Amino acid sequence: MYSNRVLIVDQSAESREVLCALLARSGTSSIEASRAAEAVTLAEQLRPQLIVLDADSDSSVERQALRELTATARRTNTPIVLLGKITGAEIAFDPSELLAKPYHYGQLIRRIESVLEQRRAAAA
Amino acid sequence: MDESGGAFSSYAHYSRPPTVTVPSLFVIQGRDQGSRFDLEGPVVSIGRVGDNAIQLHDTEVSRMHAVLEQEGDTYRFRDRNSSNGSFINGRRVQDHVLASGDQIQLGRTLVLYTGTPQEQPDLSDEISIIPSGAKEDESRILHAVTQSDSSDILVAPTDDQASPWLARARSNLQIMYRTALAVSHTLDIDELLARIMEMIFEWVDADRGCIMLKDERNGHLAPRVRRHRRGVQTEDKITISKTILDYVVERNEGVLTSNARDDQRWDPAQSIVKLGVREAICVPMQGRYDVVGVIYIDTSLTPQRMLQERTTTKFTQEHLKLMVAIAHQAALAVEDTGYYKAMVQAERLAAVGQTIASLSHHIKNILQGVRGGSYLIELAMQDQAKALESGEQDPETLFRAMDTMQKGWKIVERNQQRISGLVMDMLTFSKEREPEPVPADLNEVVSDVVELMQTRAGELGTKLQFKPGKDIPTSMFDPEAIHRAVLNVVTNAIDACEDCQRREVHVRTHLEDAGKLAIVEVQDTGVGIETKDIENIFTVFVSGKGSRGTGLGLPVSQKIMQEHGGNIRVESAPGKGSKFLMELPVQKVPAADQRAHSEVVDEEPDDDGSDSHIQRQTLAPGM
Repeated sequence: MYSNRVLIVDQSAESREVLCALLARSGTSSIEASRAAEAVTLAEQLRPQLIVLDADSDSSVERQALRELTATARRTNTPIVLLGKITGAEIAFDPSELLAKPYHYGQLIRRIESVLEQRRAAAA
Repeated sequence: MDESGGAFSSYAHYSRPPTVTVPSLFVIQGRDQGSRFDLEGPVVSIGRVGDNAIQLHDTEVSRMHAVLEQEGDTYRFRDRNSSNGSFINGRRVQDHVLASGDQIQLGRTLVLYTGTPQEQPDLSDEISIIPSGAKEDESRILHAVTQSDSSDILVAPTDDQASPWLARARSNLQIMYRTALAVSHTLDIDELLARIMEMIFEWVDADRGCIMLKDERNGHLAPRVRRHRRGVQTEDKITISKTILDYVVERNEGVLTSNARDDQRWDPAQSIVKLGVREAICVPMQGRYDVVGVIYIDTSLTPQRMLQERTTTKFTQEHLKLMVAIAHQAALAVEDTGYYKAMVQAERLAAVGQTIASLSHHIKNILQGVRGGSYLIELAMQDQAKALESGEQDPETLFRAMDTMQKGWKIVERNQQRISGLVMDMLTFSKEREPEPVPADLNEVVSDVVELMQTRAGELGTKLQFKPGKDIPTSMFDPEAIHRAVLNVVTNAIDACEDCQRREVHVRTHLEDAGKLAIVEVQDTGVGIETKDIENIFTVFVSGKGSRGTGLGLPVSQKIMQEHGGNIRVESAPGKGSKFLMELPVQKVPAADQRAHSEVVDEEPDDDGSDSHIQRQTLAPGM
């Protein structure tokens, strides 16, 4: 059974707040994580439909967690929408969508919805 | 590693631009002044007409004046029976193997030859800076001279009779100045320094000498040239006391030092007669803007010479003055070299690039926040418009729209605050602004900051508390600047708690050091700082807060405290939180100001002191 949940990984509480509010309008519920490490557990346990990842961090601990998160996403076949680019050490993964900062929220919501749409179509 | 090790490790960073490996000619005088010709190929001809590899526009130069023939690393100069002849270093020549620095006069044109630069050996083994407190050098400063003291050496033709040596040196100095200015554009910096050292040795009877240049980045002095008088055994390293170097660089004064003690001078029983006396002159190379390095020379008097010449001193104040003047000219020449300019330029560009990159990053994040907030408002307005259009007056829809709008507005406002904070910090940081001290109350300033930050703390569910210390006197400081400094530290403390279980920030004030130091203490229960990161927290644009921080906050706070003669101390343990201690020296209020201020205070009706223990406390409202 597929939930409609989206996992939002962003260090900024404010950005998470905005995105949650926007997703809620279209009836999509969301889970929040401020750090990648936290997100790995949530992704494993709750199996979200999609991960929206703001990887704007340069700490090495965070980078390791990012690597784990992308690996988890690949394993569980969860698409990732990446906001901004991952700086520093290259992390090999192919996000479903990539939005450079500063992005427009309208655009972001449309991308998220189209990815969710594809998932639903594929599941049907 | 000790201090000297640190200084010399910077030598490696002192990367040189690709050295010009081809010999060259540079026109110092004449119509072609400023032209530079690289010498390439086995034969290079010089003359007035265009057929020559080097054409000189000088009617007194013959059509085919001379030819240069390659010979090993250098060139042989051969006059081709020119009508007016060729002169090298003032002597008429027919045939001459060129050495770097030779000046060739052809007609009215004076040309400087620069050979292939010699590889410079690493000097760190030969020169060491000994930290203060080391026993090796017990030299003390006998005289100190500032540059303005010695500037008359170039101008005033005072008592030439009294010191013919000084008169000669003065004329040499002027020559050197001209030459240095002319050559510095072409010379490799090490060659220029070597030349300067050579000139110094011509005039001053020194045994050993060296020139150290300051590394732009870390301010360490790195030795570049070392020289000793012919015949002097120099198996030993030149050791220079760091105390003396620091004195010279910081006070910008030249010093004459000696390891002899006054009372020992004529006492033959003292060890000094057995060991001899070492005297040294160390002068700053004061350029147009800054000290670019130091020149050091020293000499030793053996016991035999001391007895022979009936003296224990060799260097005089005149020597010191001359050295200060030389060092100034040398610094100007160094600043003129393309190498130095390029280095300074590169440093600046790198810094500018980093600044721009870092600022755009922060502004981008703020912009992202504004976009988020305004998009929420936009949607809420659309919803509301739709509801009104359809004539529906569903209170719940309107309420939801209103709620979204409020949420969006709060975000916009917060980001507006962030950008104004960023601008304020940038201004504080960039402005060479002096604090404007007025009589002010530290507790009041800190209390304002705490009040201002209560909202933000409340939003994040953090307890923010201020315990003003008693007896904090009214003192002289810039209340606006200190407000900014405390605000940045408190903001950081609140942010540090964001993802923590326990979220408390305690601000206190107290006096230390018998009332001479007022301390603002900001303690949080936040994430703490790794030991390795502590030294970086005051570095501009290094933010520990990821995308939230600008990397300007703490550097600005530190700058402000330092401008007030204070500083910021940090104690931190990862996972346990941090404690920032902001030290503000208490400056007594001058009598005149005191009256003015106390009159104001006296007007306050309630001054019995009973209410001085204000305690503000906000517990997380569950919002």
